[in-house]
Amino acid sequence: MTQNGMLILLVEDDEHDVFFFRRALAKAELQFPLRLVVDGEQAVQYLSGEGQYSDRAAHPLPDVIFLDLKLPYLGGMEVLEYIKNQPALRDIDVIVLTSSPEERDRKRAFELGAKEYLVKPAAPKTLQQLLTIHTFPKAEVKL
Amino acid sequence: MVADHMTEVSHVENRDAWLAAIVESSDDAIITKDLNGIITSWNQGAQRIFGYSAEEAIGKPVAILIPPDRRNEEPGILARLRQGQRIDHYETVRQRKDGTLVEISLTVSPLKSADGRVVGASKIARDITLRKQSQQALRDSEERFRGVVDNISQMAWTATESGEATWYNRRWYEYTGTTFDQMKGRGWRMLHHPDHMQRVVTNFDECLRTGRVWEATFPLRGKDGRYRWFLSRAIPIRDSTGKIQLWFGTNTDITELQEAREALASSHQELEKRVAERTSSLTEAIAQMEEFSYSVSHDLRAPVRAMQGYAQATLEDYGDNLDERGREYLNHIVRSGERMDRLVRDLLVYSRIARTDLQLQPVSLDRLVSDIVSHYPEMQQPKAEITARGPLHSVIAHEPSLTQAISNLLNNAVKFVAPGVKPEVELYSERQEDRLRLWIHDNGIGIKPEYRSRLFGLFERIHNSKHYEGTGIGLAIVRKSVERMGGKVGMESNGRGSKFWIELASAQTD
Repeated sequence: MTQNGMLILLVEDDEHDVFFFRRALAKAELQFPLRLVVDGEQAVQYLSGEGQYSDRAAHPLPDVIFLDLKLPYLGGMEVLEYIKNQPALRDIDVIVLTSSPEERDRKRAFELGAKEYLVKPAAPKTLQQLLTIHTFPKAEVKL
Repeated sequence: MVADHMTEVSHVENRDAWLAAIVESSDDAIITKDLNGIITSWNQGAQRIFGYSAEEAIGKPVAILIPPDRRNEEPGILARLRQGQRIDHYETVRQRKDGTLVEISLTVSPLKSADGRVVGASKIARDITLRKQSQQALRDSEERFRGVVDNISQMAWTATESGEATWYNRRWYEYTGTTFDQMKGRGWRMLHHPDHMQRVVTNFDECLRTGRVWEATFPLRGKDGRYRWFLSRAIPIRDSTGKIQLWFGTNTDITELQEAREALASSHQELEKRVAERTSSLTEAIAQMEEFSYSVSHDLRAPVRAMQGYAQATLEDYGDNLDERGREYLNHIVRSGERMDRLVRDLLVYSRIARTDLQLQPVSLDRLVSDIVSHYPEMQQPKAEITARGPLHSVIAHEPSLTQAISNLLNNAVKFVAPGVKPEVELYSERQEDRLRLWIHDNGIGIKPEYRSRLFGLFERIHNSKHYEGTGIGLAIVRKSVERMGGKVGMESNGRGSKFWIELASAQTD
């Protein structure tokens, strides 16, 4: 938890989807800090604190991750698998945000430990529900 | 003494008469002659065979019975007689009184005087014409049989009851290039293929032992060294007591049949292989198709979503800076984007239904319909009224697919109504034996009979898109999903709305 509220890590390679996500957050009046990585490899580097992300103070671990599935290099499922196998990352909620309505993707994502599965575009109302009602009580316990 | 003598004489006289009676009643000719060949006695049998009476024959040389071309036989016979030799069953030809010839079997014995000198000869002649004829007939028939069996296209043979070969037909020698000496006994084994010999011999011996008809298929080597396949069959031939006298066998060349069978088997294999190849390329095509659908859902929808999203954002953020027409244009972009997105999603649903394996189980229609209605505000009061008349019962179905089908039908039912009319939909079910038909009766605009055949096709739209939104995929999804569950769909329209129905297997067991 940062001073300004929850830290969100958005894993998204499509700049338009990044725009719509930010816009939906703004419309939901959730002024949370947001870090962006644009592929699966970067996501793993960020979470493991490697390479350009070795400074944990500058690149703190997020409270919640919004993860696209179709990503360059490592796919979203592989990132999910990586997170699941890292004890240090276990408390981070991962919300899949994808354009795939396929049942097999939904099933696989939940098997790999995703907290939620959203089909794009994310509606402001949904984000508000997820980030306040769903995650806040847990954050309060942490405090 | 006198009495004794008399008794003896009478006894002797009786014995002579008795012997004479035997001689007279014999079927054979019994003749005696002296050493000069002059006939000295002649019985009834001789008269019957040769035609001369005793009076005519006695005192005549025996040569009267000998045909001119056999006159040289007599001196030899006489010479042997003089030396006391006997001639047994000598088969020759003699001449009757009328000049015709008769075949006889002749036995000639020397007649000796009390002191042992040869004084003449007795001749017993038996007419063997009939025997000769039947022998000839047998020979002829055997000849005919061989003639036939030699000329059939099959190979044929005979063997003893212990399986030793005794005869082969011509075709056998022509094919095998062997001689009888090579074949006799069990010489035939040399023609068998080593891979089959054991099986053939075991099988043959089994039949010899049991007397069962032998039937086997095996290759035999021809004179060119190549093997051909034969269907072989042998039957035991028994005598009047039932004992097996010989085996008669045939071998029929079935190489072509066998080759045809093998060709058939290999073409069958080829076909299987081709089917497997096609199946695998089909599977690959399906996998590619799925990959394609997957890409469509991700990649094709992304730019549409972006266009739609930016148009919406422009409207929201800059709408006040635009005039009415500018805002209308942006609204068109938003709606077109929505429509495109819906089309892509519906197509994905359709292709998914067409390819997924459906697990069927009992599904309660009452619960399913109420779930669906609770999901769609436009199906609920006050916008619409959907009611069930009586219990709807349960069907055997794949729940997600049935949900898809019924929600599409209900969506249509509340959508296609005349302006200003509140949609009213009534559902009820009918059981027909083991099937259950769910009816969905609406108060909508109905469908003209001429369009009904197109109703369930893909991309078919029969209402003006200006007034009624739709992608033309909804009913195609309904039909595809119901058919995948082993059911049927249909509709009726009688001017007062439409009546759609879905028919599936009933879940009731009574």
